[in-house]
Amino acid sequence: MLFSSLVFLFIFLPSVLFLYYISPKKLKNIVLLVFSLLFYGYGEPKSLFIMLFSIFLNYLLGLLVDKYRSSKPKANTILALTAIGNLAVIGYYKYTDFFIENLNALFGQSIPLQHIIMPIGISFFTFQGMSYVIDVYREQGKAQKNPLNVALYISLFPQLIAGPIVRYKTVAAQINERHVNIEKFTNGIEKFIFGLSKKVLVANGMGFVADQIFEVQAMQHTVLLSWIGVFAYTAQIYFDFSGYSDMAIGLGRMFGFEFLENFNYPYISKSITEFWRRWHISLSTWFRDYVYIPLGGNRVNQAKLIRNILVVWLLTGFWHGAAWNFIAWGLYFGLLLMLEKFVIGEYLKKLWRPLQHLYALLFIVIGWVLFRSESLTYALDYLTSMFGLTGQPIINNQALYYIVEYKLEFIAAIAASTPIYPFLQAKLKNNRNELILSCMKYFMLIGMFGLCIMYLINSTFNPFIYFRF
Amino acid sequence: MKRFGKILFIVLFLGVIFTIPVLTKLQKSQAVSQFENRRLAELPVLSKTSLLSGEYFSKWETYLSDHIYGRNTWIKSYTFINMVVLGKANINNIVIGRDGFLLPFFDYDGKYDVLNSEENLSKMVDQLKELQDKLVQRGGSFYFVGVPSQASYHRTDYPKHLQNKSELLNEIERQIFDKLDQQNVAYINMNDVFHKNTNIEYYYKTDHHYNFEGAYATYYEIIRNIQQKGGLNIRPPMDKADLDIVTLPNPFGGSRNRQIYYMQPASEQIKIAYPKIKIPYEKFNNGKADNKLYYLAENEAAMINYGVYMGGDWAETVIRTNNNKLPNLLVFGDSFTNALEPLLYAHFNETRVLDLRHYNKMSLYEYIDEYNPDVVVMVRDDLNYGNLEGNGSFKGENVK
Repeated sequence: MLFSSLVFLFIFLPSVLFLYYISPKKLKNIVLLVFSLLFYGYGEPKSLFIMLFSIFLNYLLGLLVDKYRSSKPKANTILALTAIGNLAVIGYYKYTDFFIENLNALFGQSIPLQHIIMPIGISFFTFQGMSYVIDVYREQGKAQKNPLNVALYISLFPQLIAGPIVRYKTVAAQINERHVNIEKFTNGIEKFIFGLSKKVLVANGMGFVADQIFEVQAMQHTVLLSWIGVFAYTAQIYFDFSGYSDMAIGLGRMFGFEFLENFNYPYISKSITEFWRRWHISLSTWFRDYVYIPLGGNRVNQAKLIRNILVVWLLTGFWHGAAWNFIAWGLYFGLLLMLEKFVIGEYLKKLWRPLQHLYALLFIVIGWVLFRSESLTYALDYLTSMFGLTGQPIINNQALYYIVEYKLEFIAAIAASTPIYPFLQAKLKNNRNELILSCMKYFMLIGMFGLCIMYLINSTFNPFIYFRF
Repeated sequence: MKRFGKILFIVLFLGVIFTIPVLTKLQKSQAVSQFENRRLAELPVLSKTSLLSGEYFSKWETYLSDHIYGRNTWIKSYTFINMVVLGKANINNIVIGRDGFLLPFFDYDGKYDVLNSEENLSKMVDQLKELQDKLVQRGGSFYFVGVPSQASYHRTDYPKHLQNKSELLNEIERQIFDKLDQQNVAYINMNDVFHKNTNIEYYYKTDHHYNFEGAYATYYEIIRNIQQKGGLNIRPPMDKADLDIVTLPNPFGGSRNRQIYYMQPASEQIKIAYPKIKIPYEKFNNGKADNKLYYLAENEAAMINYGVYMGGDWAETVIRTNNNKLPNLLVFGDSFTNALEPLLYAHFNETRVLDLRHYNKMSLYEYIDEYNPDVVVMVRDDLNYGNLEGNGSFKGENVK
């Protein structure tokens, strides 16, 4: 089920809120768990069993690692089993056909593809499962004796299918004890409506433009059309992804959970290093804490440091999808980060600030071409077209059409990519008319919510772009 | 007071998400959307297969979207916002062109380029030639009547930044009539006829069909060609002086205006015409007797549409004047034939009209063998010259 769906807004959400708040405290987690399983089973009932298996596996491993933590060899074996078990699940469902395709190509084999249907959100729930066992081992959260609590942590519907990847240490205490007050509930609704608006009012429109442009042979694009396509995708992926994260955080707050922010205005970055501190924060910190630092992090010699960076970025790319363009995308950022770390970082800081932004944005956008393309060949053709090397004209009517027709969406996307809203909120505080202004804000939010409903009723274009994650 | 604002916000949000489903449940369910001209989704049926495949739940989303409380208001508001607030040129796939003409939005998917490829146009002309040869062998005749679509005739009225398919339409027209010439297939190109007198407006602003003037000019050319070029013994085309032309007072709900929920003000009205000298006839729609040529509304305030002509699209219509001295006519085509039929029948003993999109009892060839018409006329709009389906399919692919 998607948050940006009428069934979620008008059947699921009122039902879960109603039953949650009328239930006695000891039943609240059960209500949330049942609804989380319903939420997951709604789209793909068969995949529910895979998630339940993953939950059971990590529950057992969590108990074992807690029991044998004093024996390092045993604890290490359990941690290794955790990694192997979880990676086997994700590997089978997500990467089997990718490996078969490459084995066939490499060795001239004809092993038949398995066409395994990947359970939605598998990359998120397996990573949360691993986080649970590792955090228990590191004593950053208590092992749950009650399997329902582990099930709730892994399957909690707000963050289940599109993140953020909530670390066990972040919510361990909240599973058993959390509070909601008017302030928090209001804040949750506000965050949810903002996220929904990002997805429905901006990302969907931008996605429509991007899809139309990316489905045509890149060599046929005019220069401007290529840039419009990639800018549209740049906006789509940010507003879609951060919109989902905002909705997840908002929904979490409505039930008393506090999840960490997943995005922090990434497109205002002045370098790629900064971009990755602001983009999909829960994934980068997951890899930092569970892969990069255990490999030695920064405190190793330069060769090992390069290895560590490349490993993390190879995995980051591969996590996003089982295709070479995702691996290329990950390594592309790995290389850029190394370049900034070892070569141009200091020079970059001395540049005129607008040029720093331009530099970061240019390379981010090029990265999205790799990410959005169906193949590496298409990505290269697309880049060729962006830089006017295909012999096509600079501009055509189609490009003009997208500019004129979607100008407001583009303007909204640019404005909302900057921290204009927190800036206005800060101005609002301690203002003489704070009360009037805050009432206006709430009416504006309800208006945005109404607009989202209107768009959802009308639009048939409401994609879920993380099906590969 | 700050707390009050927050409570109000919570109440409003919860009010929306709790009230809408209750009101949706309480309201009377509708089967058809008049605005969208389609059947609304039915309540999903639960089965083990549909549950496990996820189909059951996915149908719920469509069902809820189709039956949500205040649906028409939601979609009208959406249209209004896109049209007035956001100033979009493409509203629900309709473009507001110069002088308020509502034109179809041509997407960049190349749909019409594929449909009207040179290969398809050649195939179409080949089958037209084959049909004409068959009719000539039987002592009959055939005419292909090409009518510009409203979008084609008004292509210059598109906003500059939108594609109007002008190049494609020119090319389609050039190719099909060149090929028809090469194969000696008799045709009437209404685009040429319409452009001879541009003072007359042949199209509705808010509907995709031609108006009375367009239909009358097309009727006139068909009869003139059959009588003069074909040498058939029928009366010449009726002049306007021979007709009682009535302008219906009802508001007109054009098909394109319906797509934008009638938000474009339109002062258009439908005209109908009866021969001044009454010609008795009997008429059958799909075999059932029904003598109406025009389907008028019960009162003057009711909104009417192009369906006034012959009551819309029928698989088969037969009109008999029972005058054995006159030849028999067979017309086939999309809804462009509807406005011609009340005038054409007056010249023939029997007029049969087929819409091959809906007629599936036999193929066109079998139908000709069965009813032996003296003249066959195909009416086709230029966006569908290369369309080999529906009325472009003569050999019974649609036959059950």
